Amino acid sequence: MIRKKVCLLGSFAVGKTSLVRRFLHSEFSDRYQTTVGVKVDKKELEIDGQAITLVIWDLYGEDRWQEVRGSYLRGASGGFLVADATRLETLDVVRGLAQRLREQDPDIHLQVVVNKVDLRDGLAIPLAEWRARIDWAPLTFTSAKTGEGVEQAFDALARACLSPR
Amino acid sequence: MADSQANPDRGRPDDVSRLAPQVPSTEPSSEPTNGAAPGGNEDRKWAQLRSLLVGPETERIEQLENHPPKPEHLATVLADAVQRSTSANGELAEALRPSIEKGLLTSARKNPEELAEAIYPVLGPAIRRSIRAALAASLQSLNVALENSISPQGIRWRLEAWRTGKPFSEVVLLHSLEYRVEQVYWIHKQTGVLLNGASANVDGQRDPDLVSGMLAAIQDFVQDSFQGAGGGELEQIEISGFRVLLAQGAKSGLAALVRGIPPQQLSEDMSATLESLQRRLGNELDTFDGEVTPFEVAHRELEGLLGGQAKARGKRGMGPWLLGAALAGMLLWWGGSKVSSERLESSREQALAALQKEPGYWIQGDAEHSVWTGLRDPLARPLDQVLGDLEGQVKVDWSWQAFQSIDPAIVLKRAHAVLEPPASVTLKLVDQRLLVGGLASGAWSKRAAAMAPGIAGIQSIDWSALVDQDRQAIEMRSRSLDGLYLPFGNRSGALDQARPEVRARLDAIRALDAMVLAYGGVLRIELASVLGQDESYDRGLAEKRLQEVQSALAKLGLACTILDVQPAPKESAAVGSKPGVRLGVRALLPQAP
Repeated sequence: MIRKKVCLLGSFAVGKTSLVRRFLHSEFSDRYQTTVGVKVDKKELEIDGQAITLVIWDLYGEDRWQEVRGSYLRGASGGFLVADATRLETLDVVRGLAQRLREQDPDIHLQVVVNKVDLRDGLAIPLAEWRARIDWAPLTFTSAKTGEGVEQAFDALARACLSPR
Repeated sequence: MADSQANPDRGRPDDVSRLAPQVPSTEPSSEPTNGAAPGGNEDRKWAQLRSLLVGPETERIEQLENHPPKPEHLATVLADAVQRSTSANGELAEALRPSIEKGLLTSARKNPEELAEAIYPVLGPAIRRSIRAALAASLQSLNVALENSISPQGIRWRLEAWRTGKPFSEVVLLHSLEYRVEQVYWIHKQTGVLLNGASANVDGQRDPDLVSGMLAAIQDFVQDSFQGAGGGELEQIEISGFRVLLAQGAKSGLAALVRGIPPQQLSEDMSATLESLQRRLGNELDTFDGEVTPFEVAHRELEGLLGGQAKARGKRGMGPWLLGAALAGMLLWWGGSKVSSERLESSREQALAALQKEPGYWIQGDAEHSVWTGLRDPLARPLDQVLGDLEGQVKVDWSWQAFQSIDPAIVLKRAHAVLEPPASVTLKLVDQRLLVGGLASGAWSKRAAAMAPGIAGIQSIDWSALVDQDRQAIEMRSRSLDGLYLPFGNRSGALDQARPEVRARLDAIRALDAMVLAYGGVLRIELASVLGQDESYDRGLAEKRLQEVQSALAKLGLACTILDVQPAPKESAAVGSKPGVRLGVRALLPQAP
């Protein structure tokens, strides 16, 4: 049995909690995020016959007023970075978070997720442009609303976490 | 030399052994030689002297060196040697340990009864003591429950159980215990990942992975928040109804979810357990990368922290009703275990009956024993199909040997498996006689005839109801071709093979011959020459025609027998008989099986 700590990060209101609600095993109230800044959830997966539990630290949305606590990032095997397809500025936050994660651990596995792709008319930039701008980490387009891409994104990160660092 | 001469006790073994190495080391050149030649002569003398002095001993030493000690000699000194070595240091024990462990393991596997008998004097009292302790604990909790069931407090607890939806027993336990450790988590410090955990069987438990993660997060939060304010590590979290005790180590931490007020001893026990685990699994903790399997060995130690302590109760004499209730409880317990044991025995009896009825099984066992041995035909139904749910209820260790059953159902299955009959063939078994019926190809019939006698459980085979399709086809065709007529021109001795009817008839004969050959038979053809009505009896012409047909058949690879020349009968002339050669065709086939 393998258990890996993974941090779920992104700007405020990019849809992290919706992603969690859709696919993760969650027992604690979202109030924890506002009080201690984190809520722990988990996702059990099987990758090529190997059982893996992703213990996901869903960290409070990073914005101008509140920064993610460094101690919460410690020991993470992977980072799940969420941007909002309708707000280009969320990509800057994702970049900054990726940098912080890599400062903490240069070998950390990252998975960038551009969420809310179901809002085709409201996209900040075309998806191809998103792809061109995020060429520094694996990228998945998701929609927590329709479920599109969510499972694949978690699978991809779990697979990366199982690979040697 | 002077020494040996001066020593009156030189014959004693001690002195000889001391002398033996001294003799050659003496410098002979400094001694008087009495005019003897130096060198070889002197050496010989020394050798002679050595032989005289220590000859027997040298031989013994040589013998000892060249031959290993005999077992009977070793036996006399072994016990003493082992005793001395054991009292001196533990090396012998260490050297013998692997062999002894291996021996015990082999003995336990090969002859468990004997080993069980040997250690029974040790295990027996220990088991009895453990049962006594468990029974005492059960009685104690029974007393508490009984005592409170009709008291005002008991009624209050019942109301609480009804209000909260918890079982009454749990409410009694909650109020009766001073503390109870319900869950223990061992958490990796850096990642917050659960390394291992143990929990008492209580309702409403949360997911251990999530609790560990949240505890680690709260710990980080507290440390971050109170850094520099003299805040160290979190030791305890109190929530109404229960508290979380935390023991912190360098690489990992222990968290215990406790109801009630735990004694200080519990924290000390947690620290000691954590230290022991970190020491024992230090390398695994250093290289931890998410794989938690190596930490499963900690489970027993974590379980050791579970449990609790009952509240000290006022000293009261056990009233007669309480004693009665206790006795009733014991009777209930005894009755319960008896019912459960009777249920087990009943399941086993049903399973035995089912297996005894089932074709292909032979079982030896009884309802009171949990080891059953038996024979099982590989063609019998699988055990789970025979027993259904009973398989899980009987709690039996099975030991099966393969065998060939002669139960008719299994024999018939075996016949099907060996003979692989086509769908058009039916197999039946009557009194160990296999009845084969239906339609089959000649090839299958032959193969079946060869294999059927070797099938276990079959004494004889009846093929009479089996129709051989190939044989049937040959016989039909042979009948239709019998009397075939090859026409010749009037007064002509030449067979016109270009004529379509002649060609077709010859081809039909050749096809039949191929079928007969494939079946392993022989096609017999007889020729009779027929003269036409306006041909007077001409034996030469008739013979020529026969030779002509014989030669045509020979070209096709067919042999034939020439029968006779038939002159045109008067009656045939009347119906307009034509000249030619008539063929009698008969297939000679091997005997049917």
